[in-house]
Amino acid sequence: MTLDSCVECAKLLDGTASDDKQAVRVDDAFPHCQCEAHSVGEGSPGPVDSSEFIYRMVVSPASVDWNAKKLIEDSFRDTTLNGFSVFRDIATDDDINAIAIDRLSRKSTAKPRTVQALIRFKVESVRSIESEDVGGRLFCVYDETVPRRDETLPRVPTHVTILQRLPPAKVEDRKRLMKDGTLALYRLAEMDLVKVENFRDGMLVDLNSRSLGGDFVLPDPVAQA
Amino acid sequence: MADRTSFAKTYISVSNFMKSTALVAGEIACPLPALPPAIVSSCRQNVMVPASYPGIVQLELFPAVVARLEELRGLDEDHDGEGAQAPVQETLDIAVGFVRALPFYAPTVAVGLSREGYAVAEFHDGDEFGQVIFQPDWSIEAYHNKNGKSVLIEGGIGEQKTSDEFHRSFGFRLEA
Repeated sequence: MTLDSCVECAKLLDGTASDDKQAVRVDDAFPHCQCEAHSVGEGSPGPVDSSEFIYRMVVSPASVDWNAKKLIEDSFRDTTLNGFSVFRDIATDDDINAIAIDRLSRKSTAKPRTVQALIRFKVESVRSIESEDVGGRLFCVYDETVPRRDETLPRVPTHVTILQRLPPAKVEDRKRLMKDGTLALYRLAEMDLVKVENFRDGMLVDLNSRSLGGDFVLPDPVAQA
Repeated sequence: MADRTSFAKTYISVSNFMKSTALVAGEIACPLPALPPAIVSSCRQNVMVPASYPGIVQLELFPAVVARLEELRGLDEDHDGEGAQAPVQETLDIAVGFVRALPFYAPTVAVGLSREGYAVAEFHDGDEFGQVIFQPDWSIEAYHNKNGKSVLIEGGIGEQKTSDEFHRSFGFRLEA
């Protein structure tokens, strides 16, 4: 890895991808998770170590079926597109508040949202998932940071992105193989679902109450204009 | 989920034996008019439906699943805070029909939405996983994985090929 590749990795993983092609783009340019060697996120404390834990915030009621007590596997498909957003265990309460508030913020016409649960992963476990279909590791864990809803606010430094490595475009049955890969991460997730009330003394319970009470409503763009 | 078919066959054998010995009352002969879809579906698959009490017909086999699908209809766009699309109502209509047609031996089913707003049904049975994503044009994307061996089925709900492949993998018929 050179200084150039470090700059290139940071450019590729600058948190602005919106075309659903980030997973392909990053692996094409730097296969086998090469960019993990560099810190790519603005303000990040450094690359994600395998000994760390990371958390996924589950917000949509459509992503978890409490009747069946199951997460919805399809909600993990972001790993194959622009990335699956998680945060590091070293995140401060302020970092987590910022991430949660961005997820809970809504238009005035939309119903309030709440954090439904969290999924805890050990980075080492995510990185240890392998597949012959991609010739090695399936998931890369990058310290990519993303813009806040209010882009004038500084990025959350402890945001992390998981990207799935995909079989080459011409491979037969590519879509099925991609689903095989995503299912592997889903099965890992099922093993460590954390209730909101059990996370950091229930800090997200308070945010959920505020959301249900009418907080986190985005300014009306027409009124702003 | 293919194992469920064997389970159903075992049930039929036991059921037939019990019937012959007049131990069971309340079973439903096939075909019967005006039966709930789930029961009709089971009948089409030559599976007897056990009634909890003699003479009582169970009206909905998966009422909580149907109720949840109805709840999902009311979600707004961006319901995940990450830009998800609003629910596509036609796909929820199809999913409700699908769930109502499930046979009683179908495994645990969880339902949700894809980021495009399409209804999703996912089946869990130990190491076996099945997923059906309903598209507004009445086609499906169905994925089945058992012990690492997977199949992806794409096609119209009414198409014979899709239906056969689905039945082979999931162990029950594709109906909606």
